[in-house]
Amino acid sequence: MSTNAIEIRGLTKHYPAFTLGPLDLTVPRGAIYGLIGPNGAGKTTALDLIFGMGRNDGGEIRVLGLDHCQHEVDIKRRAAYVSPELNFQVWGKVGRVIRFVRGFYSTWDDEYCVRLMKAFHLSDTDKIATLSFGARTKLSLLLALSHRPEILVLDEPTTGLDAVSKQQVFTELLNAVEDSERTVLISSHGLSDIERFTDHIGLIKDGKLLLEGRTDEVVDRYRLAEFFAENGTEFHNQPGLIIVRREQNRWHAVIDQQQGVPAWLESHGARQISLTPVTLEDLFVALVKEEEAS
Amino acid sequence: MKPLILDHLKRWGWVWGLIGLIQFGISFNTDPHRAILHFQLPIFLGALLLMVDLQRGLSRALLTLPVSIRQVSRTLWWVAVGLPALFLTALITLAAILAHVTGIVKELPYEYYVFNGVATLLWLGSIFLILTGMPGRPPVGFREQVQAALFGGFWGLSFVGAFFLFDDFHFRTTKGMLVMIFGTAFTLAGWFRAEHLVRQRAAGRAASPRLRNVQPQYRVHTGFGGLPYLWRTLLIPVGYIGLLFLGVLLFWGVIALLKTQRLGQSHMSPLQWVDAMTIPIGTFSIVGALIILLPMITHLRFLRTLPISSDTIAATLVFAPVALIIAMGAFVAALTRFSSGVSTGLFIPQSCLFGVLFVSIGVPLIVWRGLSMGSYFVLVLMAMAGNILPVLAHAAKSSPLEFLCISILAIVSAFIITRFVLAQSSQPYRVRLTTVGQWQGMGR
Repeated sequence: MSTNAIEIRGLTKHYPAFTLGPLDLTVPRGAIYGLIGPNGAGKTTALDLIFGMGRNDGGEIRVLGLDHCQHEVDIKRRAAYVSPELNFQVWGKVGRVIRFVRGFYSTWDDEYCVRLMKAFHLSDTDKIATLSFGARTKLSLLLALSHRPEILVLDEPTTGLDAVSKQQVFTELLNAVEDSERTVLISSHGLSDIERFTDHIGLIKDGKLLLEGRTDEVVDRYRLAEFFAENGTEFHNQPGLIIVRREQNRWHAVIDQQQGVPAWLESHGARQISLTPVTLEDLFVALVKEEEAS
Repeated sequence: MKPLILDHLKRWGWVWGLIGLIQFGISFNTDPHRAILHFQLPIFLGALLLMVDLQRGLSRALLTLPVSIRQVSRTLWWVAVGLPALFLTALITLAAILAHVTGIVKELPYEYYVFNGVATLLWLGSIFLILTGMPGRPPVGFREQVQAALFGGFWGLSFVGAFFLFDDFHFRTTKGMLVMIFGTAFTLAGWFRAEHLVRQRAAGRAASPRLRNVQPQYRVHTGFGGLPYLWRTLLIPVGYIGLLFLGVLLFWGVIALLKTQRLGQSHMSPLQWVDAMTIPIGTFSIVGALIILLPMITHLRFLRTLPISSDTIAATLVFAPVALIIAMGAFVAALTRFSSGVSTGLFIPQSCLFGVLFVSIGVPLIVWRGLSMGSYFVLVLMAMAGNILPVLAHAAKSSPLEFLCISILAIVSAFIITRFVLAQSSQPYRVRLTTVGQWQGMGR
């Protein structure tokens, strides 16, 4: 049995105006993996490819050790996809789409489904067309969770949700992943949620993976640095140093501690260097800006 | 108002040009009394373009601009009714004068051109009124559902309405007077209802019915689900299919009545009768195929996340409409045989073939491109061809084997291409606006 839930190796997909990859991504079994990146980075494309929405031009995707093309149906029996873009309107009412989806899974849990309906305030008589954007996302999540999938792929699950709904969604997600064998791959712009919720992250930009690792290790590796320098001293981005902004002779930067940047700064005239923990959002903005600048 | 009209013409200039060319070509070379060919064109220029704009949220966008609702509503009426009627009538008249000058047409039936202009205006004006009655969002509650079904039905009928409304039409007959009176009343009503259309289309989705103090129910519906439920709910939408067969029956009956009235059944050989009565299958096949395909196409992204293989989805997309076309062919064959007493022979397979060809081209196209403007216009052109080509095909002498081979080849190719597109392309899964979706309560 493979130790990884999802393994993506050298994945490429070409569009006229965008190329995804080559992308390597490893989601360990039982992990909650956050895929983050700016708009148009290729997150949805990558997740879509796992579910066969489009064929990759190169590379391979293995889910639970199975090839995603050869074992398409087997994989989908054990995995679920949540996205606000999924459209259920043709079934008319919540109860009908539940009945439809329920028929595909022998693992469907009616009791759990009813509990989720109550938690998400979704009545089986609700008309899908009149559901709010957030309620449609909750319906998508309900359909995905109720068959207790081994892998849960969530594309922007909190987009359009208010604070209370977001909390409900995360509570249910946390309940769902209590079982350590369940894996979650989540793409989101809500970086504070990702930082709190995930144990692994991957940062993707222009179709390429910039960074991957355990969330705590990644966040711990970087620091926000504030330092002063004599007038006329110039610092530019270099490996491990990302200049965020400058106010006269006061500099703000994100530094990679593994590359010995504090010592390098001191040797180049920086004074009063103070290091504070970085948030995922600070790190994300800095890395994306650095990538754009380069 | 002027910038809004110019904006419409700038965006849709290519459609106006295309329809104008077709209208000019037909008018230059056709017996002017064959009004049917002319009357199908205005709807593609008027109501359909407006429908596409409304579905894309035009009225909501325009109302954020410094223009009044009245200005917007007047603009919509002019671009969907007034201007197309003026434009097409001018083209017909110009083409006829040129044909007369060059000696292609001997006489100029002035009365016909006046009639054509007035009738086009009244027809488009009436369709505009129908549009104002169609809900801009999925219907909620019984009243809205009845309204949606009623006006949706009128909308569907408006495409074929010209066939019998203007058949053998003269101003001085009772039928002519009635058409004039009702047409004028509907057109005027449409003018005054235009503001309602703008307001209604600019409004957001309906509030959830549960806000109206309906008690929520939390229970899971048991019984069969999965693919059988998909086939029952999506592929065999009993209401729509039933309406379709009723439409076929009504249309068949109207054509039969008109043919009998005009020619006298005694003057038609059984073979001519069968020929005339089996032609509409092509058009209805296309409508039937769309009824089945649209819900599937608009939900492909969701279906792809479920444990259904791309082979199954492709087979369902291709074979379900083909089965419906065969059923419809059998239905019309039975009706025609019952009325004429002779076998329909090759006419039914010939007419069905166009439906099958539509599926063969239409399914991979829609799956690949979605209901984008490009695929939409290919479908419209195919629908128009579906009306005309069976007439030509019936005149040709072909063996049943040829039809069988072409049909099988078309279906198998459609399946292979659809399967390929489903597996290879990401296009089918990106959410796009549908052109006809909202009519089916699936838009937004």
